[in-house]
Formats: sequence, structure tokens, C-alpha cells
Amino acid sequence: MFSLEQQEIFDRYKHPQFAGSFEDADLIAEGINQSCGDEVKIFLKLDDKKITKARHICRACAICTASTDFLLEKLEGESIEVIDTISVEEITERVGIPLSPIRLKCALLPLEALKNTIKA
Amino acid sequence: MRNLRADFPIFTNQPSLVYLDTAATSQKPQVVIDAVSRFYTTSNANIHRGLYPLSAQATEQYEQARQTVASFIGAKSAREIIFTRGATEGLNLLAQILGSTLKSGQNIILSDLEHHSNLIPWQQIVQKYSVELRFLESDQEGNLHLENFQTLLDQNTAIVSLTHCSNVMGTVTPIALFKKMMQEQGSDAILIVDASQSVPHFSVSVQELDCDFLVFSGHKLYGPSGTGVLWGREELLAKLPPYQTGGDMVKTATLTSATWNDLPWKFEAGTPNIEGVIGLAAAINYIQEVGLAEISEHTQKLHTYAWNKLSEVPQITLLGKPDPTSGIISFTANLHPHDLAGLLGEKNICIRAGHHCAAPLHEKLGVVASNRISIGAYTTQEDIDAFLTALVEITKEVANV
Repeated sequence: MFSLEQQEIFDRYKHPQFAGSFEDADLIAEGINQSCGDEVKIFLKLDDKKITKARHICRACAICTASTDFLLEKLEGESIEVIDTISVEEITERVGIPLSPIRLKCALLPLEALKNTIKA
Repeated sequence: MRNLRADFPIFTNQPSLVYLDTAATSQKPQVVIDAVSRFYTTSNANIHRGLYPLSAQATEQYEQARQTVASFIGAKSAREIIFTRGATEGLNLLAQILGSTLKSGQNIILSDLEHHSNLIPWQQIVQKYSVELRFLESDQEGNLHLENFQTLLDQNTAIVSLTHCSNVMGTVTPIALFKKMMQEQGSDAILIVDASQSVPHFSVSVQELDCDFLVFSGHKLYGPSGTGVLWGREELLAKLPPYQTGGDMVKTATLTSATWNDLPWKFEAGTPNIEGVIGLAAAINYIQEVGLAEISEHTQKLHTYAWNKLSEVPQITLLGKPDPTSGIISFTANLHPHDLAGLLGEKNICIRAGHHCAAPLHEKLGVVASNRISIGAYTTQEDIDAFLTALVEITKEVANV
């Protein structure tokens, strides 16, 4: 039997709430996990520093897809500066299931992609 | 066949373990662990060097292991057996030493089923020597066909290097027929066989395959990690240049030059994995004592059972049509392969997820990754049942989300 947390992850995997893309994105972040082939693409629309719209296209496992969806849910309406303050613990807490080192990479891929793009 | 469970201490130490990843690496029987341990506790010395009895004893055990391997694959002589770190090193060795003999404009034929170890070393050669790589395409079931091979083979083909058994599709290549076609076409190309997935499952004879070189890994054959075998025809090995150079592979050495040792030592520079090789011989003795024919039959029986049961799971798509003797079944499910393997892992059920070091094949199959179960001599029907029960439960849950 799936735990409630597992159910939520698979629910977000099958029915992501922030899936999609749009053309006039102000920031596009891409992340690839070489070891397992997960691919994440995140689109952000900004009004000054405020994230007004966030969407993603994930070709990835459930943990990576759900983690991306959770992250965008948190980011919409926030300042882009929030991204740099999000910790690993915040991500793992939201994902809610124990993560082995290899699965932790799946969960962190969207945050790392965003942080790397902002830095660059 | 008798139940081999008790011979493998991992199953005593991990009573709930369901291990279905033997194609990645096999578990080790106590006799192999003991052989390695016995060498260190009773016979440890460097080989081919010491003038004292202990070194002679170590050398004798190491060379006896070579003889065991030679008999196992039907080599004409132990001089044709080179010990390596594994199939990967064997293929890198071949790519490097054969590569240096290639002429611009020649070609190398591989198949699209190859493990990265029989692909990337040749890609490096292509860049260095201006030769061409040609790929024999597998059909939907994962089989390679002679007709397609015929269209690729020409007078400029210098090397043909093929898997004997695909580590993803579980199909077996009819190597002897390929060799026959090469002879009929008057091709003098060198035929290399990657036997990593075949030698653990059925009897392999280099004479019957009629190939020129063959490689396999020890760790998939119930032997220690870091061991492997390269077999080559003596006349070819004799005329090829060495791979790595250094100690033990020279006959004479001055400050400015050296001459090469006799076969097989010409290709074994430095102190080898002595205890590993002795452990590998113990593994071969073990499977011969159990009986390779019995292991084959056991594998086929469980494979057929698992295949039939998996065919009935609605959320599963089976990949290709494996030979039951391979023990390999690859598939995709209604969740990402990593998630499935992760969820099964929580129940101590070990299956593979990913591209199994065959990324180009997965791209051709149109999937990012797949899952794979693989059966070994110690696998039981209970293992398969535990896996199937968990699989059905997980895929149902996912379908209902």
C-alpha cells in the first residue's frame, strides 16, 4: 500500500498542476540528471522581480516531476530572490518520503536548475 | 538441480533478499569467497618472481586457474587466456591493439545491441585511425539477422565485434553462422564476441563459435569483481603488439629497449588480481560441479514462468523476445523505471532500472529507460513470485492514483 506521501507524489506525477510551457518566458531553466536521464525545463514569467507564472515540462521520474511541481507551486507569486534561499531540507520535507542519495538528486534537480540559471 | 541457496551466504545474512539483478553482477558462493580467503591466508606471494616455495605455490595456483578457464571455454591452450579486469578491459585492449593495425578506409561492424563497453572503445579508434563504424540493426524482438550483416560486410571490413547475448533484450546471436557468412564472402575480418551474458548461462565453446577473440567478466560468473578473461587465437595474439607495458610482460629490458614475454604474459603487465583469478577458477569449478546444463534448464524454466506471468500484467510492456536461457527480461511499466525499482527496493527486491549501459538501444526502442530482471543459478520461483506480487500491487496503485 502506498503511504499518503507516496500517493501525493504519484498524483502530482500523473496530474501535475504546473505542467506546460509558454512563449514569453523571462527565464527558462533546464536541468538534466546524467545518471538517470531525468530532464526538467522550467518557464518563469516575471513582473519586475515577482514570479507571476511558473510552468514546467518534465521528462522524468515521479520524484523529480512531483518535486518540480511542488517547487513551482511555492514560487508562483513570490520574488525570484526566494529561489536562492530555498534549502535542501525544504525540498525533502515537501517531498515527504525517505530519499536515498541517488533519489535525492531527482528531487533536487529543479531547484538546482533554477539556481544555476539565475547564477549564470 | 539441487537448491543452491545455502551455497550463497548473502541469502543467509539477508534472509528477505530477493535478488533479480544477476546480469549486473552475480552473488558469490562460499567456495569462491573461501578460495580468495584461502589464498591470502595460506599462499600469498607475488607470482612469476619469487625463487622461494611460497611464490612457486602462488604461481602454480594462478596458472592452474588459467588452465581451468581454457578448458571451460574450449581453448586449444592456456597460452590463449589473458586475465583482465573484466570484459570492458578486454574490449579496450582489443580496440587499442587491433586499432593500431587498421588502415584508413577500413570499417568495423558492431550491432545496435552492444553494451557501452563494446561501443565506446571502438568510437575512440574511429576518431584516431580514420576508419568507419557500421551498425547491424536488431529487429523489434532484439535479433540480429544474417541478411542485414551481408549488406554491411565488405572487403574493407577489418573487425566484427558482437554481443553473444544482449544484456537488455536477452537475445542470443548465432555467432557461428555469422562466421560462416564471413568465410563465404571471403572476408578475413577479425570476429570478436562479447560473451559476458552468455558464459554464466550456457556452455560456450570458442571452437564451436569459430570466433577470433572472446571476452567475459568474472563477476557475472559467480566470481570476484575485477576479474575477466580475454581469449584469443594464439597466432593472432602472438603477432599483435602488447597493450599495457611494464613488469612481467617483458623478456628482456635495457634502459632504452625491451623485448616481449611469451604468451599469455605479454598481455599481463604488472601484478595481476591473483586472488581474484583463483576465485574465478573456483567459481568455474563450482558451476561445473552443479552442472551448466542444469543451470541452463533451471534458468529457462524460471524465465518462462516469469515471462508468462508478466505477460498477464496489464500495466507492463515487455521488450523484445528474449531467449529463456539468458535469464533476462526487460520491460516498462506505468511508472518511471527508477520509481518502480525504488519502490521494489523498499521491499528488498532488487531489479535494474536505467539504460543498462545500452543508451543507444533504448533510444531506438523509444524509451528513456527500462526495468530488467535477471535470473541466476540461485534464483527461486519464490523470488519471482515475491517480485510479481509487489509489481502487481505497485502498478495497480499507480493506475488508481
